[in-house]
Amino acid sequence: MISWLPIVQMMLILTIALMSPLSKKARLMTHLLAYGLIANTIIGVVLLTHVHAVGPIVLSLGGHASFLGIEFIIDSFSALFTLFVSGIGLLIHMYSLGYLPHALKESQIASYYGLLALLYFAVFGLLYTNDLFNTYVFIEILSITTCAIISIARKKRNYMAAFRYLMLNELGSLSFLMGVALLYMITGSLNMTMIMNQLSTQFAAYPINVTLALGFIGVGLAMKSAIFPFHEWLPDAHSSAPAPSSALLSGVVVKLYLLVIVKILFRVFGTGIAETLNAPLVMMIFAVVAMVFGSLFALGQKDIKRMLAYSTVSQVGYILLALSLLSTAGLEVMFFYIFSHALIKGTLFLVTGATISHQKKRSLESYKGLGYLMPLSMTAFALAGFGMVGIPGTSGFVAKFQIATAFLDVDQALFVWVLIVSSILNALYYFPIIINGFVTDNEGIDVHLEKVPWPMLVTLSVFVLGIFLLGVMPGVIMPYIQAAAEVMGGVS
Amino acid sequence: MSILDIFVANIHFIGAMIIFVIGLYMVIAHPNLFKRIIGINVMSSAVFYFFVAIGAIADGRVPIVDGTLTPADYINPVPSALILTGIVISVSFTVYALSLAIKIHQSYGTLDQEKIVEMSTRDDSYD
Repeated sequence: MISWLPIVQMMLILTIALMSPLSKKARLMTHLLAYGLIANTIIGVVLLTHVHAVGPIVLSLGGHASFLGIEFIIDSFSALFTLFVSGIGLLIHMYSLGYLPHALKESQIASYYGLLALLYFAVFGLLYTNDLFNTYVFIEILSITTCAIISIARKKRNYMAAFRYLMLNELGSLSFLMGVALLYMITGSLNMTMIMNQLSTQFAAYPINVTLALGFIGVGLAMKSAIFPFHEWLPDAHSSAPAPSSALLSGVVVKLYLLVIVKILFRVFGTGIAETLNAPLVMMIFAVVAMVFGSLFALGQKDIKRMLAYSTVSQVGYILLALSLLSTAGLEVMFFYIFSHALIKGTLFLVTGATISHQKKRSLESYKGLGYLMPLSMTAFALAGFGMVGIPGTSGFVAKFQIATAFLDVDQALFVWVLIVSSILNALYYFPIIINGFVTDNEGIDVHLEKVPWPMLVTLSVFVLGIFLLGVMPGVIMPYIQAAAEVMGGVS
Repeated sequence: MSILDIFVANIHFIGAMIIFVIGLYMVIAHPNLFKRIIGINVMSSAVFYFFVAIGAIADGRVPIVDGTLTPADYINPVPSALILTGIVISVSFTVYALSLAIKIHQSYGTLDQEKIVEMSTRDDSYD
């Protein structure tokens, strides 16, 4: 019975998504998605504890043997991250209760939640599936729904952002599919486990196929996860989406493609082949460039949301750097970074949403003195900014510290310097906002608490608490992260 | 085996790659948004062709088992079945991209990327 819970999870959310064309009532869809996410979070907790105690569940859909049918694998890795996505999704949903009624029209809200439900469906599928073609299908669902979410607020700027994102996304998907075809050509299988078994012998016979396949799949997923030279779409896309979905896109969706890269490297190619083909070196170079240049571009922005988007580009670099170790220790660090960054960047984007809807301004100059007008939101912004820079006590510090120690363990101190430089650059663009917000003379400014709807404030405080909880007691989630890393990369 | 033989033996795959690159060039180099959508479609056709060619064998039969032939005589039906899904995805992509293009044309009055970028940088207002 418990092994069918993932299917219940996905069917539930899919049914909610399919309700949206039937109902244009925002209230109904809001409630449905809220209950759906609560149910999914509970199921997620049940699955994670079950997987931890008993071991992975392998589901063969339709009862076909694994060489024919699609397999779902629910292990510490996928259970952890589905719980993570539904938890963050639930919090962001609570924020949307206060935010969306001011930002979108009633009928748009209904279809927005429909699209969001479809997005969660794709995310769950992407994490569970053990089949390459199935992965492609879920990637396509995910990319089309994210583009639709970006274009949902009917503005000129959004159409163009969505169009660009759609084009690059589709290029990425096709490149991924070409890689899958090249693998299918030599292994005759789409099941990840079976491909990996085959590749250990086929790699010697068809090195060109395997190299090209890794190249195509890598470039395809790099485009979707905005790894530096392919980040072109991200600032436009993430800055023009409604604030709750910017938080979701930046905090969760971009990371998800990185998790797909993890699956591809560890479950399809295997670390042996990846190292023979120099994948770690390539990833390190891209990561370092992203870390430095993402921050440099962020320094030059005038719009707060674009600045945050460029900051995401540089953070993706950190995550990729952790992945480039291609070891269980590296994966642990990477997973922790993903959690930490989702909380921090979620807070930052949500605060921006509050300030934009409250002040109707989004240029960086308008943040001057905002600490007096919106003290609570700006405090959240400041604390999350500290987390992003890596002030001790926040999760950002623990995450960066872990990356540094992981690299010192393998005697590559150079990357620690890159980390420090990039953190200083981070400080250069977060601190001026915070300082301008609070330390300025308040003559003529009417100091009062902001009238932001309470669901938004509650969400913000939960996010900030999360940042400090992970910063002070990373041990709370560390056992789960270790289990997830071990199931991927083997016991270290 | 000479290079020519390798070329002839892999003509489907090499052809598919060439079409893929042509499509890629269209997407990257063309300023017209509509042509870019066509470019993506050319690329996806190339990938589909590549996939289907994997399953094909010379003088292969449709895979309906009648007991007289050995499995080696049938073409592999799995890639064709996968590509049906792929085509559906490609159609839904095209529909969405074209609807966006219509909206862009309504709001900017042109589909030329360069002109649109020029216009959108000119009104640099934040909402």
